[in-house]
Amino acid sequence: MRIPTQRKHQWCRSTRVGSVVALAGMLLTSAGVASATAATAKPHASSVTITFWDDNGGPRTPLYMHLIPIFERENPGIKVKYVGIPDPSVLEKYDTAIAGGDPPDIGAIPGGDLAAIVAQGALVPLNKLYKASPLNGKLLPTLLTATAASSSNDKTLWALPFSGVPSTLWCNMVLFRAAHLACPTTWNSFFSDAKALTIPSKGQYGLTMRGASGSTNQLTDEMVSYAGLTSYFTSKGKSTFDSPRAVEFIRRFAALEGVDTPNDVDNGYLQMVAEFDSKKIGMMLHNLGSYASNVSALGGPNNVVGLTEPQGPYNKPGVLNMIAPGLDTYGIFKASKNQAADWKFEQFLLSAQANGYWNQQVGQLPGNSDVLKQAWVAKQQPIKSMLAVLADPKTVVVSAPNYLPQLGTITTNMDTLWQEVLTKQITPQQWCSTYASQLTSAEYLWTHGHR
Amino acid sequence: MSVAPLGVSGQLARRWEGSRLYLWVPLGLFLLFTLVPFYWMIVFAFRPDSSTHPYPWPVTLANFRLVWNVLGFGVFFKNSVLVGVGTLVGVNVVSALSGYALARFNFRGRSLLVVGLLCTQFVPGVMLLIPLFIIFRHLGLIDNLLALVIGDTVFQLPLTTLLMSGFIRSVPAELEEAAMVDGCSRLKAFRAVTLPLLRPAFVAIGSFAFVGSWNNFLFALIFMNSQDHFTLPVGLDYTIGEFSVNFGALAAGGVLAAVPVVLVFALVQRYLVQGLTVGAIKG
Repeated sequence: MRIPTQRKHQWCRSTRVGSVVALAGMLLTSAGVASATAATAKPHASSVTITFWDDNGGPRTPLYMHLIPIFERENPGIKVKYVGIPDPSVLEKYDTAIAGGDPPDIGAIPGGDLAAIVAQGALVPLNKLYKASPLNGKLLPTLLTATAASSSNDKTLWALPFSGVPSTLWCNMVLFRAAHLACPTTWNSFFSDAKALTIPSKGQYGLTMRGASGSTNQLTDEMVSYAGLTSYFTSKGKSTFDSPRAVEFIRRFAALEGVDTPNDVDNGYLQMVAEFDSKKIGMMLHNLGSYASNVSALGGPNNVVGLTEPQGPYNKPGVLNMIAPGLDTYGIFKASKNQAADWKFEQFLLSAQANGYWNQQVGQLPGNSDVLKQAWVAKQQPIKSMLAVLADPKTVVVSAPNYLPQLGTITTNMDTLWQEVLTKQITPQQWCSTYASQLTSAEYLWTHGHR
Repeated sequence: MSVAPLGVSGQLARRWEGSRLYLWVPLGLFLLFTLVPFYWMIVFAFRPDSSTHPYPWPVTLANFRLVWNVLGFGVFFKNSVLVGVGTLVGVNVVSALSGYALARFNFRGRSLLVVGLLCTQFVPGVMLLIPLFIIFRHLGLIDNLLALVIGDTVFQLPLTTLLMSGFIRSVPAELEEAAMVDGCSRLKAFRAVTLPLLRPAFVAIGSFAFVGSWNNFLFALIFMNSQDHFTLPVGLDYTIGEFSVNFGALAAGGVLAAVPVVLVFALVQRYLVQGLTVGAIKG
């Protein structure tokens, strides 16, 4: 077959045009890549640059954008490169960076992820540095104890806490006021108020419940509070979660069907918070972290009250049992070549000035006890209320055994089983027995593995 | 010959067929499932946080201003475009060459290579994260957009190579042979004869490559270590906080991320269908 000359030229021309476009695209891309790469600021020759990873990049980036320049002004030889990691992907990012040999110098680490990072031998122990620092004695003892217990049971501080998020009972005061009720301080009033606030014809419910992912952690907080448990385990290492009081709570809570929002069985925290913020729900059991979102959605601080979980029916008057608050911590990575600069930055972030600013903005419990003297603390009702409870010597704070490697798997399994309780496939007694037996086995393995 | 009158059921069946309801009902249901999430996204993106209307009223652009100016979606958008275009060019160029080799040459191990390429599709990307991270670290490409272009290109190549070889096979080899008889080299014959006929194939493969890299969250999250180098999917993740979600910002970010993809598909739809069907018919 012959190709006519005219068509051949046409083909050649279009091929040439195609090649030019492809080449231009490649050049454009490489130019863009190069310019984007060049955009990364090179450190000044005389200064040290440390990389800091924020575990909740996005919402909290502006807070660090405010704090880092202050630190850099006070420490002219140190530059901080901020990287905000999206919260849902923090552990994945840390794990890959550690395994790949390129972790940051210093990072904010959620308390729940601390054990996993410590297990990889990635962090520097901070006990000695903390003891020799002006911060010594300033960090809230409850948070400090909880941080140590998060990763090991030998009191090693692999990170220091900058914020706490205790489990919180949130009340929509618009609905409570309309029903002439107060946000409940005992579990018995909690159950009766939940019923009183439920008007299904108006789409109004007394409670929104977490039925899916994360439900077991939430339920554990509530169960410990209701049953007045003082520890996860007896002295013989047997879990206390199948005690009759614990089972009683699970039975009463699961029986709230019709009082809680429909389809709770599928609620993760996102759906639960979104339902509460729809203004038609009386109560939600979550943690202090949703304060800002609740205030904004419900129309101001007067419409929201946040209390510690209510008092259990078996507790002596005035005595509360609670699981240690969830934590946010700062840790220094072993691979860092600038650990002195890292420690300076960590001390700055934990100072009353920086820690107070950060926690005021996000509405969480500050790690530095000097912050408690700052005026804003008294004005934020939930924080003031939590601090009063934590400072009360009668309060029993129970540490979660985050050092157990199987804990995450156990709670995830129990989330599924909780859905089976809500759909009446298994009984509350079965749920408690399974939970207790899995915890007892994990504790046994841990204890015997370390002897 | 007399025709027996249709019974009631026969008439109903004919009316059902005539109205084409059998087509519209499933399509309508399918569209409902597809479009409701988009409607949700539009509503949340354009209405203020305080509004509970099921439609975007009052209309506000505050969420777009937030994601573009405060959360840095302008930068993420630019990065996504650079990586998407880079991957599109890389995938098209390499798969054209490798697809040509598979389509036109018979060499030892060819079948094994094809099976090998197919097998790579069974390996989830997440399993290769750490090895890739180490390779890119040694090449000094961590926190460099080139790592994303290379990673996305390499991950898409096995499938696109197989697709391209199918497209090339559908172009009769005699056309190239005729050009070679006229004095063209093999490369020139490929450029002058086959390449222009592959335009629909390039569009189809390029679209998939672009959209694949546009949506790739994991590589951008893991291989980039600067705010300035993250892409749109990572930006979307920023709107989900530890204890709360900014649904308005999430929806506005979703609109920004979805619009270019929708536009790309709208523009190339004609070529896309042509490209996908061209390899299906043996010439």
